[in-house]
Amino acid sequence: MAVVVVGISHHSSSVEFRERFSFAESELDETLRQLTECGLVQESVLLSTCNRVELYAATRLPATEALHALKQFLIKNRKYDGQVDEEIYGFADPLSVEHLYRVASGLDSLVLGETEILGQLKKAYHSAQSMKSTGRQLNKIFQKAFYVSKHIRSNTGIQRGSTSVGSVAVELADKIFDGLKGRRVMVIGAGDTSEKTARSLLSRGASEVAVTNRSHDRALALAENLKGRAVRFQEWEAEFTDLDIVISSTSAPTYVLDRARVERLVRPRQSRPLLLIDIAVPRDIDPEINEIENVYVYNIDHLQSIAQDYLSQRQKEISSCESFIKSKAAETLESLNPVGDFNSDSSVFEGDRKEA
Amino acid sequence: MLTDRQWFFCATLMYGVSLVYSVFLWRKGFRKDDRVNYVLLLGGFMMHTVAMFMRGFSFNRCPVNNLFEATMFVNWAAVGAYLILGLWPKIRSLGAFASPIFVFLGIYALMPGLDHHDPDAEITKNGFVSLHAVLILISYAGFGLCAVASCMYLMQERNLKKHKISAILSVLPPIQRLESVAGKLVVSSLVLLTIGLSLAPLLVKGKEGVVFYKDAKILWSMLVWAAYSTIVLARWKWRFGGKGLAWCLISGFVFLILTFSGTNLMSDLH
Repeated sequence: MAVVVVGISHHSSSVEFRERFSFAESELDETLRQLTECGLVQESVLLSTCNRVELYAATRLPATEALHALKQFLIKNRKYDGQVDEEIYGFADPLSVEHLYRVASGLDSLVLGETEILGQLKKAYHSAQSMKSTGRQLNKIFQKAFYVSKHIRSNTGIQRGSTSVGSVAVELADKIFDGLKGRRVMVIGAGDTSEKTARSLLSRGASEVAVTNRSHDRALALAENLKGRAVRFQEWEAEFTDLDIVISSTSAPTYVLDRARVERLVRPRQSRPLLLIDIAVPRDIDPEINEIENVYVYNIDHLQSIAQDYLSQRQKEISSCESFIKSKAAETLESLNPVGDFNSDSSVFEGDRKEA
Repeated sequence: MLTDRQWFFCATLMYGVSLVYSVFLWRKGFRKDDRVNYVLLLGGFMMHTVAMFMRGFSFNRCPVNNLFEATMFVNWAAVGAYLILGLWPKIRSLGAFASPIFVFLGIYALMPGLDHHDPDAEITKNGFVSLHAVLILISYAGFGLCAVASCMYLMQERNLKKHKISAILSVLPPIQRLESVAGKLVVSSLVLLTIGLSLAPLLVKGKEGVVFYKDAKILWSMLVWAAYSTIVLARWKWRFGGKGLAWCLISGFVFLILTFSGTNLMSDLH
């Protein structure tokens, strides 16, 4: 049997196109049932996430024929009447198996190495299993995909580091403080990124968040969202001695925190470290504050540069991951077809996968 | 069968391998876990322990009688203390910074002329002398580890200030933990030093002609005690910490290690 995949992803299509082809969770079972009933495939798994819709199948049809038929099935099922060019891609084995392993390992994800896709893939597989639409071929291939993903994630740096501003801030705090549990955070300004950053810190154990904003109503709203407390903008300095982390994202045209003010405010703190995260543009925190002992200032450029460095580190790992994937895909197919009856037509019918 | 010196030589070689591996870890930005280094130091420590026991049993006393033995003992105590701290994975990378000190002390101890054996020495007759020496030498080992933790602190602090990615990518502990470890080590080492030094009057009691305030080693020991006491007092009273504390602990240990053997040789009582 040939193992094929037909699908669309963020690499091949726009979000508008993906919206048309996405499946609600309630539609998955019915779609798999239709697919089996029409006799196109013997085994199938349907994966539908915000970034991809993919149909993995094992079929007795010749690969090229199966790929075309599955593409038509998708188009008809989604009642799409527009032009389809390279948006839908399809692979036969061994490329289909390699593709699955790549997806499971996060190599095909929008954020390289992200882990969410593995959970989504497992869910899709278990859903297909419960519908009895998987068999020997797909069971083996998917189990191996989970193994490959685990191996790659634990033995390479593909998952290492953070690629968002919020998680970089958490990592920074982790390198300054002896644990985040019990740390006190203050958010100055009620921006979206500062909210996400504060959430990241709270999720890692920060005990308390105080929010201050020129508009006290907005501070109250954000404080409620974060289960923290609002502090009037005129009064936030009084809290400074007890703080560990300050996230600032106001729209003030000048510095909210200048060196002289911080020097005065940190004096009672003695040698306790203080992390100041400046997400605002123009900046809220005078960069000279970084020269004060035990005070660490990181602005949006620093955080983004760290996130970018992480991404570069991950990209360096791609080649070793790819070679592992290729060898494991060949191994899996060999065990499924011991006589070496691989698909001779492993090329793509259309919509060759575009690498990010 | 190897002699105690040969076992100690093997242990020093093992610490040397750890040092080479530490250089490799440093070149890689301390991004790897330090388990290999820990195992290397554990191997060295086991050989070191064999050397210590052989020496102790052959002379029927604690091996702290001459400069060779004292240095070997300080080294052994420092490696042992690291191995205990290293059970906590978050502080294990201390070994990479400590291995140069272990190698240095090993090579220094093995230098010829330091292993002078005096069968009539007071230490062979009085158990309190052994206790006095052991407590003080363990405290020196503790001060050594304080200096190592402080080096790590300064490196990590600098990386964070310079916004280097290595600050995040490395497996080095957070600076606050390093400061806390150094702070706790200096207090415990000072306690040991104080107990060790307080035994000294009992050892010279009743001896005629002993003018201990003129003895270089005693004056030096009082100076070391005063310096570390000031650090501990400042930390307790004014929460002295950060780079200032780190530099004080490094300077203190550098002074201690550079003057230890000189004052020992100048002393009539030791």
